[in-house]
Amino acid sequence: MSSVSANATAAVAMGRGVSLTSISVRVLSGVAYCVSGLLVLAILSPIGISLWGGITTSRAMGTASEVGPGWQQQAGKAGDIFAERTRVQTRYFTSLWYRYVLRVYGGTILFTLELALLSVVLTTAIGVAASYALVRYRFPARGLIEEVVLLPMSIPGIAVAIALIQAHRTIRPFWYIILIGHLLYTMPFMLRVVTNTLRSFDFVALEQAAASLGASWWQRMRWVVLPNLRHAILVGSLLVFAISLGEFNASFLLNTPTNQTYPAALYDTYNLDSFQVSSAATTIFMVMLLPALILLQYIGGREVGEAGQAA
Amino acid sequence: MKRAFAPLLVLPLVVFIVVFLLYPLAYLAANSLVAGGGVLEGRTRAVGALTAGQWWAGLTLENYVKVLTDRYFVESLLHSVMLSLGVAIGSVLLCLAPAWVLVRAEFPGKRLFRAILTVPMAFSGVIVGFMAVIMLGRWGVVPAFLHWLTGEAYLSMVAYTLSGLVVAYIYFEIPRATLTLEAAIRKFDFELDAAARSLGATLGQRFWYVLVPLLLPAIISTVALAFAVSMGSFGVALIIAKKFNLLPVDIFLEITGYANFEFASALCVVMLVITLATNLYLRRLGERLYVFRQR
Repeated sequence: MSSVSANATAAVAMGRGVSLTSISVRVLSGVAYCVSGLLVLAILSPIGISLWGGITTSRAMGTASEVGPGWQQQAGKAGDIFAERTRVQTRYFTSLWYRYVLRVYGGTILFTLELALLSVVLTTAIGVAASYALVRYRFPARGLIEEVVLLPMSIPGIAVAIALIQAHRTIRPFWYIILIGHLLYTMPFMLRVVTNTLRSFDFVALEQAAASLGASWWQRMRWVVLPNLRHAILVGSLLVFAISLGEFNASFLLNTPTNQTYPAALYDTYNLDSFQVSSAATTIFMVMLLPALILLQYIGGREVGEAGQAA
Repeated sequence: MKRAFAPLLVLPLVVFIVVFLLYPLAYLAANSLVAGGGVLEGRTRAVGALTAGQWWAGLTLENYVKVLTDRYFVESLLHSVMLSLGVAIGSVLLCLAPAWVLVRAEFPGKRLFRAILTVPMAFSGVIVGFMAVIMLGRWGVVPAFLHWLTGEAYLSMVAYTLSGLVVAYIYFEIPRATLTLEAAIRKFDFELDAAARSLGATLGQRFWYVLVPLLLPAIISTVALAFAVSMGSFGVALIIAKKFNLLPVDIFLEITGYANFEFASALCVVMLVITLATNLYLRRLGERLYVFRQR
């Protein structure tokens, strides 16, 4: 990257030479800063409001209702929390909404985390092996296979869900149909990150060097190829985890009555519960997502950008 | 392991994709070609419970005729396309700014700035819908603020209109669009810009004839992505598209409301054809431009 020369040119472009152009350059960059600032504000303010809404009562909010029809439906499950509602009306802050969400939707949180972890394990196992074979060896339909695996990135999740329900109606009642949906939508990211890394250096030469020293296939995998893929696999796993947590388009129709993912539970709270309960539920989701996002930020900027691009 | 067997490493993936993606999609297409059942017509049968003979005998284009002639569905289709275009154009225009700032500016907290911009990437659509309601709903933050400022709650209920949907989907697109455009701007050779300047090009000319053509592949890629996401991601629409019809929401209602899988399949096929055709066309366009640039 020629950042030095770019900076030098920028210095020339934005230099002291007073001209009409340099003024308009300044105006333009001013506009760019303002738009960026507005975008940051637009991203942060609803997050901030959810944080705040999750801990306040209607007394602090000045709004009318704290409970929606969902609250009544869940009265049995919510139990003592339901009774506590009348007492918090005299206070400003409460943890009641969080306790309600954890009590009523706690199972869906665990299920979603399980799905995300399983997705990571399976995409790693299947995806890394396939990526290696796709880059390393020449065989028929190589390009086609890659295209088809990346296909879900550009087709609507609801169509895939409806197709799955109809074609595999025998497994419709089971929880793993949701896992299949998640795998279809996370596999492209793992494959992309790993194949990009494999194509970015000449690992075949490294392997040949190892082979000439007498390393077996397994030894070459264990000591040459996989160590070089460590970073890519980590970034891919984090992407898969984050995407699986938030997956809604495909899994909403794949959900079974007993197995619901957390984003679907969020949909329920938005439709049935009050602003406070919805806010608490949203905040819980963001907390689940946060570790993966922070780690991604620290270890992989480039790959994330590449993986995020259109297939 | 013998070299001849090594490509078998790809086998689990191929089996998975064939069984759970290609076969279901083929099934979807096949099922869209038989007459719609659904509770309204009183013709409900178990999902997909059709033998090959029955399927062959019942072959008809009825569903497609309905999709393409019924005013309601044509309208949904148009809404979806309009939404996608709005999101595509809006996200490119808005995200050029932060992409530019990320490449050209150095300031404390730049890392945090980038982190904040990537936050919406992993949100589900439903959350973005909820946030649109918080910000632009009946008594959202923006109308409440404008009410405090001017005494009139402007922009109230915007979340439930087409422009509200466009804004919500742009929120969703910010990370992807910014990262794609940033990568392109980073590759941009600023010597070219300096050369154009020294030849007397105005700022507008430099922007339009130097920067935009070189960023075009990235812009096209952003547009393609925005199109795919706003066609497909129906979480946002499910929360806020209450006032008008959109294709993904129609599909959802066909299934949950009427159990009309055959007609829903036809709608899905139409949606798939539109998204795939657009995607392919934009990709070809991008490749052609790339070749052009290499010359």
